[in-house]
Amino acid sequence: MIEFHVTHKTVYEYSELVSHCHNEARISIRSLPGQKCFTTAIYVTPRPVMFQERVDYFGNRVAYFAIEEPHSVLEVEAISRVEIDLNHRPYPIESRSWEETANLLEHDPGEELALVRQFMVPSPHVEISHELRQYALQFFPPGSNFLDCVNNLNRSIFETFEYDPKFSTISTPVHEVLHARRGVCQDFSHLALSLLRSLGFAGRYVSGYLETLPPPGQPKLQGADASHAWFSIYEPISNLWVDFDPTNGVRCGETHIIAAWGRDYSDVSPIRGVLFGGGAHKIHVGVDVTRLAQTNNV
Amino acid sequence: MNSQALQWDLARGYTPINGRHDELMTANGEIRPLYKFLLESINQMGPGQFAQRRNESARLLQENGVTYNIYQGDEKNERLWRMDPLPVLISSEEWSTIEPGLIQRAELFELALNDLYSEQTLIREKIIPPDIIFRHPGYLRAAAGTLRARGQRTLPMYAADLVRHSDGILRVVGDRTQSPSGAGYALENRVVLSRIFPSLYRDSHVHRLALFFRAFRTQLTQFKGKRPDEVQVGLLTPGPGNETYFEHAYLAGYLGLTLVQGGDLTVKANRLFMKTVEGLQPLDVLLRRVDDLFSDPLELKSESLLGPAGLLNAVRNGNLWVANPVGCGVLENSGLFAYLPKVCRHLLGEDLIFPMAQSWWCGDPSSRTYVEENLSRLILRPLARSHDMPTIYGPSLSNTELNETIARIRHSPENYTAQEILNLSTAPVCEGDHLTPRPLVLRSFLAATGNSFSVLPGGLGRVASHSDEFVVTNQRGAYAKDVWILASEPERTVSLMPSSLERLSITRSSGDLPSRTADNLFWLGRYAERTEDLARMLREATMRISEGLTVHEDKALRPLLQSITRVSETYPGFDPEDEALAKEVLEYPETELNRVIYDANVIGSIVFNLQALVGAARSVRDRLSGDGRRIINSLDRLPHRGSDGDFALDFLHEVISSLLAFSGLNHESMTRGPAWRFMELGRRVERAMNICASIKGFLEENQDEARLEALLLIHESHITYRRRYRHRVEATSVIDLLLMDESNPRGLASQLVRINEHINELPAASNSYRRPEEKRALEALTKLRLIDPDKLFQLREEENLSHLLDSISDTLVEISNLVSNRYFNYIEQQQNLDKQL
Repeated sequence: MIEFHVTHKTVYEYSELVSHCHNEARISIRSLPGQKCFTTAIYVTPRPVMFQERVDYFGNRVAYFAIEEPHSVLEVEAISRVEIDLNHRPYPIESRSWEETANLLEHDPGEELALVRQFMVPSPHVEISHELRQYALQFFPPGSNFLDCVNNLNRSIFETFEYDPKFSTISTPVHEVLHARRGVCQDFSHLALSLLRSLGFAGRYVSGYLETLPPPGQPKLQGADASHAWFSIYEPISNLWVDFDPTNGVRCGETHIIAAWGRDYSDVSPIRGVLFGGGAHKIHVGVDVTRLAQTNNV
Repeated sequence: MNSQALQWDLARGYTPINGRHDELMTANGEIRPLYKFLLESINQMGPGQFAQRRNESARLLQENGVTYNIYQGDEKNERLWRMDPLPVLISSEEWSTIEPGLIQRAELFELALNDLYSEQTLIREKIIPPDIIFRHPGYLRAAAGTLRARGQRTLPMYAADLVRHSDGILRVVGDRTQSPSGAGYALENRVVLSRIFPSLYRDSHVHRLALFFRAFRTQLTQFKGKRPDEVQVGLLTPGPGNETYFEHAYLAGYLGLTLVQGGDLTVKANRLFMKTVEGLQPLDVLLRRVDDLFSDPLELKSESLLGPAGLLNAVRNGNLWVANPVGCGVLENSGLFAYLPKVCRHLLGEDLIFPMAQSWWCGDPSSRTYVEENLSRLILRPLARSHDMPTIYGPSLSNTELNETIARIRHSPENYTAQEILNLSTAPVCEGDHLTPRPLVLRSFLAATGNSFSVLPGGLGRVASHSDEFVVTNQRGAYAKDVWILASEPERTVSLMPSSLERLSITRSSGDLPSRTADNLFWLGRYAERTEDLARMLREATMRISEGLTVHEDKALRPLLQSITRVSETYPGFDPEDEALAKEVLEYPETELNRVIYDANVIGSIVFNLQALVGAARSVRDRLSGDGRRIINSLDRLPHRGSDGDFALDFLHEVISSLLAFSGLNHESMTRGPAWRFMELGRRVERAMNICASIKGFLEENQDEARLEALLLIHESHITYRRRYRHRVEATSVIDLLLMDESNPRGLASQLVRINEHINELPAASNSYRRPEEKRALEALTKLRLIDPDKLFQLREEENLSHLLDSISDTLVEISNLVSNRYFNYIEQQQNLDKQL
């Protein structure tokens, strides 16, 4: 069991005054089996005239706030304390061949699967195409174990794609990322989701955080200094979701803290907002995830 | 009655299309009993009178400005609404079988919406395949939990498209749940038809429409236990560019709602406010004609400017009710058709009453196989209506196209639904002096009232413009028809009910003048005046030139032409720097005159100003009287009369008389509220500026008699002057009349007096001191009152005429800016924050 202290601070600097703004932030951390978020405190400057929290369609915590005083700097900081205990996060014990898995997803009439379907269809940033399916099939040899194949696909993105923050914007389509073989965590996650959904699997987009400094002897992971993103794949036999981080080529472990999930980035963008005035703006994002304590299991 | 008229038969030679049900005639060629009275009455009118009434209907539609915007590529054209004078008749017996089916369908849809956005049993229990919902772009997860407001209905308005198949039975072919359009057009059709056939309408015992709208309005004013007259309701329109903007303005006027656009609205503390000239006014209810996705840039389409950021949160907090709620669009879903009977049994525990077109959702493998094999006999629709994926009509596909379409279906079968092709019934349409059968689609409207739904006893009939068209849409140019539900057999009794619709009596406070509207009214006033003043100058110049006068013979002509350029700011025009060029253009002024009159690309030309004026008027359409709209519509059509220099005089005469009629009308029939004040203020400011510019242009260099006379002419003060000073024209007395005389409505002093008056009456924040614009207005007037006209042409430069005119002109610009900043400062640049990590 590890306890983390997570701070996520975003500062917007405007070239002109913003007269008022409305914002939505998904920067609180979910609680789920194996992950317990004790608190998320959100600090906004200047002081909002309205601040409300709610839970969205996907179960993510959303903070809405509005500022009505003219300002040229907006600061949003979320401070959370989270406990991760992977012993309490169930992992599929048995996984079958990917063909059987796809077949099950296609034909199982269960209630759970009906709602999972929304993670199998195209969404604003996730494409489905024959071309993507053909590309994905190289990682899915006939008869192979489903999760092994996903793992191979995940590793291959890490190994054959270049992390390049200058290449893409949030609206760069997946097929361009595939063609250029570069991008950032959002692009890699959207690409993986597109490949997996094109094969008929259910995948969702996860936003979250990585431990800033790795434990001794382990490499620092890409994406630790900002909010991070990866994907989660649905395994229908055990009815479980399994997370993979294509930016680092690993299955997500105890240093991946899950904040929110949705169909893709558009459902969980950390901060969105509509503002009036402001001119051009600069953004600084700082994320710090520190280990408070580690208790070895008894 | 003459015998010729008796013999005339409108339906003579009318032959229904084989194999289709015809509304008017049976397969045996007999007029259906339902239509006998209608046809007899028209036959009795005789061809002459009937033709006259048809012309009357076209005139009414044109004058009322009933339009529908058509999109062609990137071009948008406003097209006049075309109405066929023969109504579609439905007997009350048939109506009584239609109504329950429509009500059930609306109830079903309302329950389905509640389910889809909360418990999701329809999806979980696979009553409908999940993909039909999850692949539909109208399923808005952000709206989950906001559709079902406490004490409010989820589906306040619903419309269904109906067609009658060859078996004579009406079937549903499409649904409108997002923001159904057409009810306003149905209302306008009725207004026109009841006016052109007053006695026929009266004697036919037609169900009236007003009650439906009244009930709907009552529903809209139910909010959180408030008294209905305290509930503030707005109608949210995307603006004059929208295809059905006419209807938005019309319904807003009819229902007594304030017409608002996204930019007029703001959300503060989770409440919706409208920016008005008197500050922020709260709105409780929004009748929404902006599409779901565009309604809230914070939670939906972020680049939208059509709705206010925070709208959904205002709804979520119970401070706002939106009709229809955001998210209803998911039911405009072709995939749903095949599963609706199941949905009905699941949610209502009963069978679906209203028959509908048989459908196959291609996401179902066996349905897809059927569709692939039978595509040439089916209509293929995308899951959601969209501009990129039009409806495909199977029989019109070539073999290659058929294969391409099948390949597309195979690529994403879940996105397509096929529908059987119904043999649309035909209705008679007047074409020339005879009737022809044309395919007919009816749109029925329902409104949530009480615990159920009311059906509009009527509807919007649309007939294709060609008899072989299978899809009837306004975008392709269809005719509209009124739909009459006949109460019983027609009796010749005189009804005491008024023959046209009763207007709802709604009182409107002046507090609901949105800033944008005030801005448009101000500019409407300015453009009207600018165009009129310029037209007068152009008319004067054109008359002189057409009499054969040149700048050499007519000393006033050069300053006149140069003033035209200065007032209209169409430089270089008649005032180029280059002397040779100036000589040339003054010598041969016709080309430049034509340009200033007709060239729409020249900023400041008459046609350009007219377009700006019509644009401003369109966006305040709901504020103008019917006559006002008529004049604007006639102005809109003027520029299309050509650009022939020979007719310039006629054209200018017409422009001036229309503008005079418009200003006279506003003067006579607009209430003296803020709306009128802003329009008048715009007019006065503009006129004052033009007087300053033209006097300066004419008299700066010298003040000979010809110039003075021309100046009096263009300022309509010639007659007054002649009456006062019979013999000669001289500068000081002209200046007195045009500048100083406060009783001359065409003079500068009178404009400044009125500007002061209007500014003092504008809504003000409580402050006992004079506001800056009041001070400037007073300063300009006082300055003018204190001058001594005798000295204007003698004194030092800083006290002479030019200096005075410049300083008053500058003050006017300042006043205009101050008023804009105080009252119209509603546009702020909106941007989004969501492209970072």
